[in-house]
Amino acid sequence: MKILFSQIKEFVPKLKAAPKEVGERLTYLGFMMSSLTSVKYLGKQDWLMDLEVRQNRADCYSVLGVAREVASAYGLEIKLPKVKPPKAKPVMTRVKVSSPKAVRRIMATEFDNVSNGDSPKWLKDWLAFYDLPDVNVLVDLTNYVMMLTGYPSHVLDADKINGPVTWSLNQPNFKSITTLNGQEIKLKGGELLIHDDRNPLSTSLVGGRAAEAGKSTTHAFLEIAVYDPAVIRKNSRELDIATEASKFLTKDLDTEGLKYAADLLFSMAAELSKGEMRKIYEFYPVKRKMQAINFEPSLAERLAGIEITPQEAARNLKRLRFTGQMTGKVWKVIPPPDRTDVFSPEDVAEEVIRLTDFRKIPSNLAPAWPPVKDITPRRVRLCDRFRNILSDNGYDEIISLPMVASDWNKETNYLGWQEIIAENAINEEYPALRESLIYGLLAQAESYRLKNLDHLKIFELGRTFGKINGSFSEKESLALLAHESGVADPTGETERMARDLLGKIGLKEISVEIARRAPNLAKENTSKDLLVRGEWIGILYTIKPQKLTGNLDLGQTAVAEIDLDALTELLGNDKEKAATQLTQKLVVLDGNMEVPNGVSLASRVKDLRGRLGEKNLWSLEIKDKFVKDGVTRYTVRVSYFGLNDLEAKQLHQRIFG
Amino acid sequence: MEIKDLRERILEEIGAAGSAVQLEQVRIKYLGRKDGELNNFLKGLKDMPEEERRRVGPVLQGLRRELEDLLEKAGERLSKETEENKKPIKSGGLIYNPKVGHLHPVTQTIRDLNGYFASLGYSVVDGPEIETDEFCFERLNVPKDHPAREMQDTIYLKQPQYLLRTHTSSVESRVLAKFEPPYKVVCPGRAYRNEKVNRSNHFVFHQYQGFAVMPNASLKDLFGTLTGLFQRLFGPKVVVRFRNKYYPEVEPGVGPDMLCFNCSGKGCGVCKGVGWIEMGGAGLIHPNLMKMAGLDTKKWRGFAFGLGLDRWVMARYKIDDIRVLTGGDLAYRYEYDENTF
Repeated sequence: MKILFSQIKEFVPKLKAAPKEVGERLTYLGFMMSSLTSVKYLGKQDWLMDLEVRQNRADCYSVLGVAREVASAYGLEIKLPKVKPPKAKPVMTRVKVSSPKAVRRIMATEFDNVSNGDSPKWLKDWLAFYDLPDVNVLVDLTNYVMMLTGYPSHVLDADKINGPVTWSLNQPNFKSITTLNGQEIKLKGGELLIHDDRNPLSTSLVGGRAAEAGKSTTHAFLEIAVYDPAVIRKNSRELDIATEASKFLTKDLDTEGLKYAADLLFSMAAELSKGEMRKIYEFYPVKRKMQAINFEPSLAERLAGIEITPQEAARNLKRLRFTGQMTGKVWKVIPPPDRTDVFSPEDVAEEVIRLTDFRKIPSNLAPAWPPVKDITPRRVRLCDRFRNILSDNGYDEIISLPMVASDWNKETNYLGWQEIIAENAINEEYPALRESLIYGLLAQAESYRLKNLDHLKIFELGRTFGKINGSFSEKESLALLAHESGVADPTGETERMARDLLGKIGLKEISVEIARRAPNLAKENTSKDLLVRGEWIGILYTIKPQKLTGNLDLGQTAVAEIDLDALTELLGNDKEKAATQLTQKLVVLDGNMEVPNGVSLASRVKDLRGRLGEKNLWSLEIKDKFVKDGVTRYTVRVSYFGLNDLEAKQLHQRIFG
Repeated sequence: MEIKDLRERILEEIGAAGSAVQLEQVRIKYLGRKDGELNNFLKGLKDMPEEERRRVGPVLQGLRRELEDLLEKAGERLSKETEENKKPIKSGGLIYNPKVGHLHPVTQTIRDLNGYFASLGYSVVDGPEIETDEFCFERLNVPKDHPAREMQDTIYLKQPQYLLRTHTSSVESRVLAKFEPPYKVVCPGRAYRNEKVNRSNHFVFHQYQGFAVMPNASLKDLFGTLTGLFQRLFGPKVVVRFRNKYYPEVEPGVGPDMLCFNCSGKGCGVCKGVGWIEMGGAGLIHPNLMKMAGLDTKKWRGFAFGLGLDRWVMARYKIDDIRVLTGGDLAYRYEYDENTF
């Protein structure tokens, strides 16, 4: 959002702060200033500020919106341009609203005998700062009012309109619309259109050519409206249209504020086009009513972590135009109607803290909180351990692309997964999720071989993906690759490393046997399944002689791929658990818990946890359920931590009887 | 056959040999006892007429001596280069030592950050990369029609429900749903957005997410935690600011920025003229998220933060193309210059 400093000063005349300071204040208030440029405007020195306006602040997508925010920040009054709607002829413009749920408010009128020539120079210069072209005075005014107030509007040549101007959702009675710049947009149905008996005249987002207002227009139709933003967002997406207007209309605009924008538009249209205004048509089925929010002023202090007195909180809210009762322990505050983003006490607290200024909150000390339970899963620690072991043994870690070409999956698949293809990936070379890490390692190996690295040991830890019985699945995998020129059987290295890895985390009974299934990429008779205690956890093989990109023979390359999810499960049953951080044994005992009718299981479990206490409770699982004599009983398995067998049994006895 | 052509061919192939193995292949090709091309010609001398034998013989013998000499010299050269390759190669402050293994720069950076958070008692958690709309958006206060959805180009596996996670915040929504507080968690990982790949953008990228749910978390706690994080990443003299910034999953929302290390706030190409570099997003966890997870907002409060990791990895390790991080040439980039920031 670009804004001239002089425009802010025009509407906040008592503002004394310099542009840089104002920009900085706005930055901390939530509108980051990314640039402040010295410019000349109307022959005077001025400053152009480029501010970021986030999508929750629809009210600030305008010059007046930003000016209001500056006025609030400095505790000053805002001075809006005085608007005096012209006297209207007692003739009503013809309007119909056929889809009232999509439209929140419309104000429209017609002007007779307009002169729709060039805009005055001040208006052209003003628009130029916003990169908007000048077209004719009425079109230019719609853009001016939009940028000034945040409400888009349209002007049509009323002599080209047949029948009443109608707002409705396309049934679809209209198949296409030609826009003002000549583009034909196909309509599918459901679009919010402004149309007459014959043609679509405009969408909510962009004007149509059928009733385009040009310099020869003498009879003009002007409308300004607020819509259901969900309908506009849907239209914008489906029609793939993004205009200046869509930036505003896709947000939750304040319907009350439309009146001022309409009065401004109509009065300026009358003044600059010399036209005679007809009676204003208004559609406003549901007047906006702001709800009071129950707000404890101490909430702002608690959320900020610094002292904010109720007096300061009340002052800040009043500056932001909040009203309501601000005394006592719980206030009832009412946000201003343009603050469609404020609903909850936390929203109100944020407003208080914003105006207090984030710079007042210290940032030099991390909180001194007591220790909490470690919920790091075993697999995360296992991956870390493997990285250490592999790098100590001369392996380099790589990260490859998780999305690949389908051909790669065909070559490396040995688990019988179905491929997962993204529905809308825009990178056509990589439409599928990888089923194996091996191809990524091969691609890396080849790029390193081009640099004459003859001895290569690399690994990757990452996800592999596939559909199993129609369900999406992903696994954490580890893959190793060893390449050495002149070596007859390279699988020796990868097998040795795989065994070493498993041994170092405390696993025994590691074996290999001929693979049940081998990937296409594997050289014949080289594939071996890797087993721990007879359970499959991975595969080893030599790569078939082939050239990935046609340059190098990777025939002396061996790979291993280990399913870390399967491995982690195995470790779960393993008494040694060398890879885990658990240093004390758990004592696991079962007990019965009755849940009377009318009592929720969750509340019984919560109660049980409370009685067991957190200090020595490792886990609590519901293992079984049975009903007898109308009473539901659950078998509960409790794991105790930090207690010996006797202590655990005594505690268990006390709770379960 | 022209001996001159043969000689030129041999010289060319010796020059092109990039390794001892390739050189040996050249030797076998021309001097191999069984089928060496030059050797075969020498064997064929006995069948030539005497006059021709007297003319060609010395030339071929001379060529063989020359070839053996060249092969020896080439062998010495290659062996010296291989030894030199094995020494640490220093280039512009970067060192690659091929005798030890290396962890990926992204891993090294994550470990560094994990170390800082471990000292504060944080757990490290991961979550699925194939996500549901529920955990990636709805439970993060971004319902189906929210404008914030338009900011993220999602890669769908099956619309509308299954997708590749667009941020690691989905892990936060899963932990909130699964575990009873209090806890402090970091969840580094990969995320996906439907973007064209170029020098500075990629459809797969790394994020570092963290959150804490405690009885009394505040903005002061968040700011202190993040300041420590940035000091860990960029050194103790880093200058940081915290401003209000809207994100749907936090309230209040915070935008942490770092004073540009390149221009010290004056404005330059690195900070796009702003003087400050945006570091990511943060804030107090929105009460809607807590309520959706079944947590009592009167009892628990949390903060959360998320940083994009890749550009910091690139700056630290002087990598100027994001594509290098996934499947690129990292052979010479495993250690970083501590004086970068």
